[in-house]
Amino acid sequence: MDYGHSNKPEGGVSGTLIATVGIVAVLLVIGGILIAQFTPVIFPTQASAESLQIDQLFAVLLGIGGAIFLLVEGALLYSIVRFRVKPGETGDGPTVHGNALLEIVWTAIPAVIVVILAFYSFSVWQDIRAPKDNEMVVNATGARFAWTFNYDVPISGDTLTAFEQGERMSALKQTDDGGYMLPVTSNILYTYVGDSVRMVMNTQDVIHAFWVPEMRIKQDLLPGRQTEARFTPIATDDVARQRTFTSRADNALTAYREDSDTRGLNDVFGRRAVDVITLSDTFDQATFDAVVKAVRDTRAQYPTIEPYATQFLESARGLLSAEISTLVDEPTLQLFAETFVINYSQYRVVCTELCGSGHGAMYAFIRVYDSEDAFLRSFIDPAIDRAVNPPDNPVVRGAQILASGAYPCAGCHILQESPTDEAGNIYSIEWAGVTGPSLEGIGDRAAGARSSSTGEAPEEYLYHSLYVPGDYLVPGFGNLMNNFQASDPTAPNYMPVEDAKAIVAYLCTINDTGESVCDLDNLNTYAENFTDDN
Amino acid sequence: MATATYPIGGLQTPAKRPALSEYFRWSIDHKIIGVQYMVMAFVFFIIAGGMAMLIRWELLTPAIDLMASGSSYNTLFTLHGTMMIFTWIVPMFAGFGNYLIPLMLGAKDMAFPWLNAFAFWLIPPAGLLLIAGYFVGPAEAGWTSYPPLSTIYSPDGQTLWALSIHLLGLSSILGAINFIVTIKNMRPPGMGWFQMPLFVWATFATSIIVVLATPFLAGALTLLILDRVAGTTFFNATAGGDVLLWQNVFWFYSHPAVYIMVLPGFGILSELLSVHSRKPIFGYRMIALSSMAIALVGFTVWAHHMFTSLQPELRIPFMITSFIIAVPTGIKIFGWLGTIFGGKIRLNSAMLFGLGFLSLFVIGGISGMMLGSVPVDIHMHDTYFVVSHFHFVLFGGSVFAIYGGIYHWFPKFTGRMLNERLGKIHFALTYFGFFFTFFPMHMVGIAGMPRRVAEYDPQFQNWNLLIGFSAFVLGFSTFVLVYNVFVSIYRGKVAGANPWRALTLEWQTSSPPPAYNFVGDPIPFEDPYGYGTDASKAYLEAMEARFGESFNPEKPKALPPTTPTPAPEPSAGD
Repeated sequence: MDYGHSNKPEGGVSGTLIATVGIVAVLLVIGGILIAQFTPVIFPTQASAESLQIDQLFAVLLGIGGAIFLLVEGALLYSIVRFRVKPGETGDGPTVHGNALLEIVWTAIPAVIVVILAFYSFSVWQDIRAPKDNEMVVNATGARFAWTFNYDVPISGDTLTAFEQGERMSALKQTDDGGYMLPVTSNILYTYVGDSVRMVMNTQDVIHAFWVPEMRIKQDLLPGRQTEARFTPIATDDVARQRTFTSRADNALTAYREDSDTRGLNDVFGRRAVDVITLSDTFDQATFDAVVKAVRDTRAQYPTIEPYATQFLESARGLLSAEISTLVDEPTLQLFAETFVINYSQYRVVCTELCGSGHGAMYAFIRVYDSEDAFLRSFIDPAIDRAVNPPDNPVVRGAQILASGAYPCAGCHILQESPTDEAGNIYSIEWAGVTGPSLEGIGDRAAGARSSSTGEAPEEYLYHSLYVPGDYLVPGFGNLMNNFQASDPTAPNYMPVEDAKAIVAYLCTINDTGESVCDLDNLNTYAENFTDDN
Repeated sequence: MATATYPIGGLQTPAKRPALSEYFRWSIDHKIIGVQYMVMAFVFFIIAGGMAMLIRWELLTPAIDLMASGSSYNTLFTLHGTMMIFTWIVPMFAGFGNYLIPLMLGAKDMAFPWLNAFAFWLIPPAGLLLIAGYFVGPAEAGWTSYPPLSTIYSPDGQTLWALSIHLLGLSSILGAINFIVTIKNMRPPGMGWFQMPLFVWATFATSIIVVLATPFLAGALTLLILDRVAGTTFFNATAGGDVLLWQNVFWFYSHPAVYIMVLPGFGILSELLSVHSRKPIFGYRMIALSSMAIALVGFTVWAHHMFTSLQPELRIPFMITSFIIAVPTGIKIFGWLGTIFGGKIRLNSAMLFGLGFLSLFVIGGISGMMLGSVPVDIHMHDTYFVVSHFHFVLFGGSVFAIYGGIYHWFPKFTGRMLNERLGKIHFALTYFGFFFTFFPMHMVGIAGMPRRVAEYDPQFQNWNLLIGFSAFVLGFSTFVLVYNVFVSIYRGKVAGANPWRALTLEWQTSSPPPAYNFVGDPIPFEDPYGYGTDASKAYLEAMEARFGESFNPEKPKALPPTTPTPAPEPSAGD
């Protein structure tokens, strides 16, 4: 065989060989480029600035890898077809021991390629981890098997005055430079397009890993070390999910029950269709003008419009019946859409480091609003409103706490409820965790089977189980839940007694009748005497 | 030189297989020990493969349904990984090494026969310890067993797991010392370092890694056990320990361990490709030395397993070393292609598995490069892309090499040929079952499916159905080989000494070899891969005259069931 000796007696490398090598090289490059085109097909949506760079790098790797693949498999197949012995043929191949030039070439070319790739990867990595301007810090905490996200919202000006007048300054933290922060906790990671997020992450137990596939960002959470990750959401080509102000909870529960085979996994993975109210069949011009006026008034009156919108829309529906489609002009529809429909994309935060039995179910959502305004209106304003105007009714307060995601219950428990307060605000709770016992109908069970098996009154049993869950395990479940701390405000799993009492008060109403099964006076007494040690 | 004849010392005794009971007893015969290793490893392979089938069964649906809980699923893949690595691939290659190294060197046995047996007999108790975990709460922290999940959050089976791996590691170290001493000291006159078969080179490189790296595993396991049973806090961050300590020390062993699991496969592949394409290895020295280069550079890449946990500043150096190791691996792949290019390729079962190895391993190499790049790995880490990558390397690579090695050396081990038709069926089922099991995992991983989960996003179900059913084909294919082995042991065609007309020394004695392998001193051919020369033909003819006719796959003709008494020693020669 001719292996391209350059020192053959005839002299020189043959022209045919050079032409062959040239054609093969061109084909390999074209093949590699074609294979690299598959990158956007196999990757999920590009939802962060980082994803653009990483996918580009991957495409280069895939192109080079594809060319190597074609070269090796091509040479292999060619050899098998060309050099397979014919039937009846015997004997040996030529005694060729190697070719120094060829061996140098196939050592040097890969060496050059890896050097280039190393530089390229390094520059992408430097970009990804570089601090950005005006970063929004989100403190993430992983615990088996749930995520919580903490935001420190700066409070100043009129808002600060509202806290002072409402005697709610205790809800605020003072910063080093004398300003004030409202700590807001959520089990959904809220952000918005163009927001440079800096995740500061800690774990309460084992190693977890924070991954959002669409953001291409992943970082482990390590015990004893604080870790960081950065990403900047960008607008996506996807049709963003639309949020309207109907409660999804009823639908969710129905879907969950009907779809029991998959144990609510569609809920877990957030892919259930969202109802979008179509407006086309309920309006005429005159009433629509009234609606628009009311919308404007409502927005002026309540900066935190979201909880009020459902009620508003419901009453609007009742009023109106005629067709709208021919009557409403585009700018008006636009205004309506801006008021009532908030666009966001929602992805799943995945835990990728094995963390125990509930590892596969450990999830949270990341919700990317399409504007900072939508982010503030949907998340920050309601949180401020809750802090300034806490409801007096402990049941309502408990519902509000749970719906806000201040505690990481959603990762392990099922609860699909949409309680309302006297003003008609809806607090939507949509938990679909499967690692812990379901809380559907917990009021009945607390007053019934669990009460008789533990010997405690329902409110006592629930309160006790919040702080020392291991004392009364539900049959079939292990002792996996956090012990909340009542005494130490700096503890990551701090739950003030007032919060616990409110949560218990609310849980007591989760039953067929919706009436509380508990004695709240007894709860106050029990809470005063309760210590973690018993 | 062209007409040289080769003197063969002494009379050979006719081939006779050892009695079955020999294999269940303490024996210091390296051939018995080699078979003990291989058969025991294969039993563990079937068990751990059954676990893989259960894993795929569970994953046919997005919800947990087959398993009682996430814990039992975690147990399953923990034991699957642990057993495949420590009780299948590593001891299987140790079995090949035990059987073949002394034969390839023309030696009577390993340097330390008693130590050899002792190393083997450490493995059954280790296997029992692993299984005993089921009675005290089995290990469920993955084969990597990261603390604190594996310390304060795991049941007692985790301690037994660590003790078991301790024993297996000790067995590895003892075996490796034996290989190093044997290869260094027991080469026959006329065989220099660069006349050794490449499988011997590969085993030598592997053994150096084992001796240098495994003590680190032992150290890490000791700390883990102390944390679990003695109240120490090496890995407990709340008491001053550090969880990254485990990851660093564990991977300082476990990355080189990847090469422990694949270098012997490289060695086997070199033998297969050269013999069955009847052509010398292309660039012998480069292939031999690249094994050593991989062994050394392999010690500097460990933290690429930690790109999402390691301090960000430290990630780039490990990316660079990980890229560098692609170069010697590339040298091997191109060398193998150069070997078959222009040869006279015999597409028998052994060769098919060899070529299958080459075609699949390159995919694992390419995905390995992708994973080596820090920004890309940030997305891929701990997803099914990684699962795909290491199965392409360890199944597409190591297990295909093992299968190829079985078809190649079974005639030497047993004196009988394996059935070729069954072999080709086995190859087709394995190759396509493998490809459609593991290739789609690249896509499903990139799309967002993490590894080690029993429940997953329903959008991935179709992929998982394809993967699952392909895996069942792959699992079934194993039993074609098992059936072939059982049938062929008793009814296979008699092989004779050298059915492949190979030049390496293990073929220059009867099949199976007699006690102490050779009668008198065997004389190696000057070049273990010198096919195509007149001298090699003369050597093979002299050997055939010595040991009688061997089975010829190209002109099948039944041989008498017993090997004829060898002809008297040729008088020609020195």
